[in-house]
Amino acid sequence: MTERARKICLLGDFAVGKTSLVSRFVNSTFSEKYLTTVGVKVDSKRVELAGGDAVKLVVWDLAGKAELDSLNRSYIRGAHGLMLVADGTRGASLRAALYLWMQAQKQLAGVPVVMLVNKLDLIAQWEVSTDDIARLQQSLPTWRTSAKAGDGVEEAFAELARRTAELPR
Amino acid sequence: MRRYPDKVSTILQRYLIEKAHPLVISVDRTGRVREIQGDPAHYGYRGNEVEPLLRLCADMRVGAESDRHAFWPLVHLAQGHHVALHWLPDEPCDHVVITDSDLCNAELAERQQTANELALAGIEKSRTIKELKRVRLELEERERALAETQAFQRRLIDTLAHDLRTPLTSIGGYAALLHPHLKENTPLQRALGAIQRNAVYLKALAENLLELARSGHVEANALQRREFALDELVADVDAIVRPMADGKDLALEVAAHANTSAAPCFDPVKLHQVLLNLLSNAVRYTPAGGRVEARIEWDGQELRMTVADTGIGIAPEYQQRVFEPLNRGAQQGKEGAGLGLSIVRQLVDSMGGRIALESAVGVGTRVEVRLPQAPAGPAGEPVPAVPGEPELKLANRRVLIVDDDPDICELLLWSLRDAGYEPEILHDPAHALERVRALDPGLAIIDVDLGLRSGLAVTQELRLAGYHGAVVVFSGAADHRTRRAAERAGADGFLAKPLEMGRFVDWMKRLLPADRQTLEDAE
Repeated sequence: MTERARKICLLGDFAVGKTSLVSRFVNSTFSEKYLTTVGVKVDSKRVELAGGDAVKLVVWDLAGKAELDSLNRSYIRGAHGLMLVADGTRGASLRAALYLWMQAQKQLAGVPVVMLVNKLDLIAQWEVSTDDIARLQQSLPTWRTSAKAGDGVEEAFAELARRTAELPR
Repeated sequence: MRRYPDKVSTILQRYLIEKAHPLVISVDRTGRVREIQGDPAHYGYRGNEVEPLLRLCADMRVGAESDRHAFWPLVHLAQGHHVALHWLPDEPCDHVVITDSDLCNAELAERQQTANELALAGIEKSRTIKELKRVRLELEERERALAETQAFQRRLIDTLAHDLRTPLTSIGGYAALLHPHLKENTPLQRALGAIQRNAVYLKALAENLLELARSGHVEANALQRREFALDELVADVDAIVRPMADGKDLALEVAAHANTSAAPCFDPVKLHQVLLNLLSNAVRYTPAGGRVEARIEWDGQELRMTVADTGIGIAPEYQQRVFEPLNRGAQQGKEGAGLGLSIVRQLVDSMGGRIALESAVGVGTRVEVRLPQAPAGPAGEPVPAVPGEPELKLANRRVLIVDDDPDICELLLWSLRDAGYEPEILHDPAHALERVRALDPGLAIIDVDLGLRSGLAVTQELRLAGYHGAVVVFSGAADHRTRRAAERAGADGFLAKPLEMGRFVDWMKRLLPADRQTLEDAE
């Protein structure tokens, strides 16, 4: 059995639930309290892959911004994958996530990317429509997730783990 | 860069060490910690147990170039500290250098938290405003829909009123025409009498239901007071209720008594409705073999109606409810629309009267209605028998009837001929002016509801063309709005359908031009 380590970065606007997604993924916990992330928080988790392999995901939870500033540029350097996160109840956060992706691509061309549209537990308040999701799915692996309930979280991280594990480096 | 003087450098180092709490961990190529400088406890690590910190550092170096200095300026440690983290490759050991960033970043973190919370509050606020706007639009939409429904309801009621009144005019009118031609007290005449009475009852019922549907209550100004004979009221109601009472083997007595020669002046149709509803209820809720009595007393000031039965009675808790609309179930086990007594109450209220009910379960019910005689109109004038029957001066006895209903036309034709006129019928209102010019009638009787063309438009056309004869319009929509519109169009009189043909003929006879009457006198 071999184990590789892969660095993935979460990018998204503030308060879309990046820290909560990591907390759900790494510790299986959730808190309603909103605490802004300043700088970066780094966690890791071993993910089993199909065929007996495993990959250690080193998850960089970056401070939420609608644009990629110099600090976050420095943090994403060397990343093997990107996890874009949007809040389904805020249409603007989806546009921000896509803009961040566009900016990050200049630095990380060709790295695997997945999109998480979070807060599925608040779907009644969603501004992001089903059509929006369908369109996203045509260009990006997209999950509707709930950090609160856990929906889609494991699957999204596992998919990114699988994709990053396939990378040569 | 020039070096600081030694003394300054010493002070600066001490100051920075005090504020930045540098922690330096030196690790050899096998990963073993060789030296720790600084205080790990400041960052939440007990003693020299800095393994978690080294693991974090190793994780953070994933993807980084292994032989180069790596620097991460603001890292949030699990224990809550914000630190600046350096990885310095060196010989024979690499160094992990950590400095405390909380001093510089505590305020930044707080500002960031506040700014983000404010932004979230702003988003929530704009979302709430948007929701309020949506709710307001929805309310406006509902209000519009309600107004449309109400307008539709009014149109429906107007149509219904017209559609009910027109055939009722025919039924009542033809029955009145036939009546004198039948022998007294024959089965045929009695049958005709029943048709007439029931037509009157049906008309009253329809009027009340329409009144209720229009406004939810009977308006006092909708009353049509006139003098009437108590005996007629008793006979009419008795004739309607008796077959029901006989069918249940009930003893029925309906009687009236007046201790004054002055005739009562009330709305006889509404009065009829009150008495009929009370008696119908009494008969319906009295078991076979029981007794129902109605007494009407008139003393010149007040009319008192009492209806008593030996029926099933009403429990005390239901006695107020029986006067509410749709009160089915107040008298258990019996069917009924639950409208009768509520209409009675509204009618009594509209006439300024009072109603009282006494009842005991298994014993019977007694309802008493007291109606004050309404004061005379302004300047002591008697209340006109029929509003809208003005005293017209007709230039001749020719009458043009403009109506598209052949039954009504035929009825008016017969009636006016009987009254001594020379009527002519015109079904198509488009030719009204042409016929008026040719005929020069003393009176034009025009139906308002003429399909595509309103009778009011025809009236206006005649007036604009210089016709000075009398114009009387009639309509199933007997409301004030139509009446005022008729006046504005140039009509001299307004009649409501269904026409009471007996009174209509009497009125027309009074209007018969003098030359004709003189001619008749001479004959």
